[in-house]
Amino acid sequence: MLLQADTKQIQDKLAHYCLTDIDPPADLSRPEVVKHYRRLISNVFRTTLELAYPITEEWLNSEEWDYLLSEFMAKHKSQTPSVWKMPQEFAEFITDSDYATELNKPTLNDLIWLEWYEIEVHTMSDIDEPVDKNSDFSIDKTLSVNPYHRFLQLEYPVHKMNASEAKNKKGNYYVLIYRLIESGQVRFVELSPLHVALLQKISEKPASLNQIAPIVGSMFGLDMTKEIREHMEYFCFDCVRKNIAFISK
Amino acid sequence: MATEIGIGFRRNFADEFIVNKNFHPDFIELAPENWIEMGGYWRKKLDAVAEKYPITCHGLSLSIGSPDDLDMDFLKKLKAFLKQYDVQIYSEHLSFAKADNAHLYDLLPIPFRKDAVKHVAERIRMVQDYLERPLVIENVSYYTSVAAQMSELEFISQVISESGCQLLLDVNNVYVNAFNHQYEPREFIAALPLDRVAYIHMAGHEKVSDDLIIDTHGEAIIDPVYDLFDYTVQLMQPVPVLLERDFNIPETKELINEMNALKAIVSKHWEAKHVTSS
Repeated sequence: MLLQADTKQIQDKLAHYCLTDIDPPADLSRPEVVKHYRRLISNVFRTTLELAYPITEEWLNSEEWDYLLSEFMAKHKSQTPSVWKMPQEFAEFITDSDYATELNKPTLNDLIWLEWYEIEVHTMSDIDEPVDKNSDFSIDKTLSVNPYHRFLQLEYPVHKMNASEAKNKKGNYYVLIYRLIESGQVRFVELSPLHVALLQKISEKPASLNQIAPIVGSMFGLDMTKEIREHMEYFCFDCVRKNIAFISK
Repeated sequence: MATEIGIGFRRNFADEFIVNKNFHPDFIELAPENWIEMGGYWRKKLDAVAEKYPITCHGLSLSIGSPDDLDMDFLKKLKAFLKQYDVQIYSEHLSFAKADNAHLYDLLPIPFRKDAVKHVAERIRMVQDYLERPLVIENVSYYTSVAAQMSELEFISQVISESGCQLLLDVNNVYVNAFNHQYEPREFIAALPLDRVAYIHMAGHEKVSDDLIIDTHGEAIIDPVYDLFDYTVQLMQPVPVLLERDFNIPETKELINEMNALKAIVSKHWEAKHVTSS
């Protein structure tokens, strides 16, 4: 490298100061204004994260939110060159560092991932999907899952109530987050474990309900009664109607 | 694109580019980092404007002055993006935005030092070789120099000379730096390698104290910056000019007025010069 060690150290030190507010470099022509670099960079992090996590920010008090922001800036090394993807690293950092326990906010992780997945699904890269829009659902037609989706397993029902209220309703909740192809809007649907299994089976490999129903039924120890078949059939029909699944070409 | 006036494409007034018939910049500029790998609703908007306007790209995260290694994965995606949208000019900042393996998402001043010149010039050449196009490097605004061993003018000139890159002359940044560091902006501009200028930026700024201006892109261009622009274009051959407005977006008619003001200045000097010399 052509850069000398002391120049590198000066640059690293300036960057470290901007992220931590600690110990700015010494040899500055205007030391009294270096704080503006810290302020401008903090503003970028704050603006980006508050845009990504408006519900979390509103739910936490300002001290808690500011603390998470300063911890993230100081302790995490952001890897993505795209600032709009940085909030994903924030969600990972909050989860991995277990701030939910430290702040006694057990619903924090669920809430933050729910908010991130909305952005992730909304912005997922476009792909060419061989979809037959003119065909109606039937049990022997091959189904594929809308490619723009995420399954989220939650401990707390933060998708349907305030995170403080959800704290008292610990359980297993399954939420599908998906994007409407035409409008780009994002939808949330709560699913049962059986529904999740049906969709996950189709997302592994496109298949007809006739093909997957016995497999999914056996996973849950179900006898494939007429009622259960009809239930699965209606669910798949409804998924096609709602753009959650498509008839494959 | 010579003598053409463009404007930055921003999401908070994206629809104006598509539906407002009175708003027709000659080209648009965008930050590729904000669009690479983005699909869905916003990709459709980008594709709609790309059908109407030529696109230039002005990067944020290449971090050409970083002590860290170049991000080759990012460069690969960038190259594909520039090709997909037939981007004629790709510019970046003479600054660093990543250090100690962490992105900062804003521009920090490179120490004005000889080793930094060599380091940056080598990286510019690597980027140009990889992208198979000239890199256009912008003189940035800075609020304090850091461990400087030469002047800003020497630093910029040597980077351009040693790397073979082109210059994006941000006239507002010269004004901001001249105010903050107390030098004469016209002398600074006249001493730059103006034959290497491929592109000009114009913008507003915010005076935050009696002795400090911050380059915000959140205000209208002020008259002294228009005057400096008028002076500058007389020294140069025609190049595209971009109006930057990132925050505090006004009514579209105000942006149109600013673009018209820029157009009037370049027409006065560049088109008259062209007629005289032909």
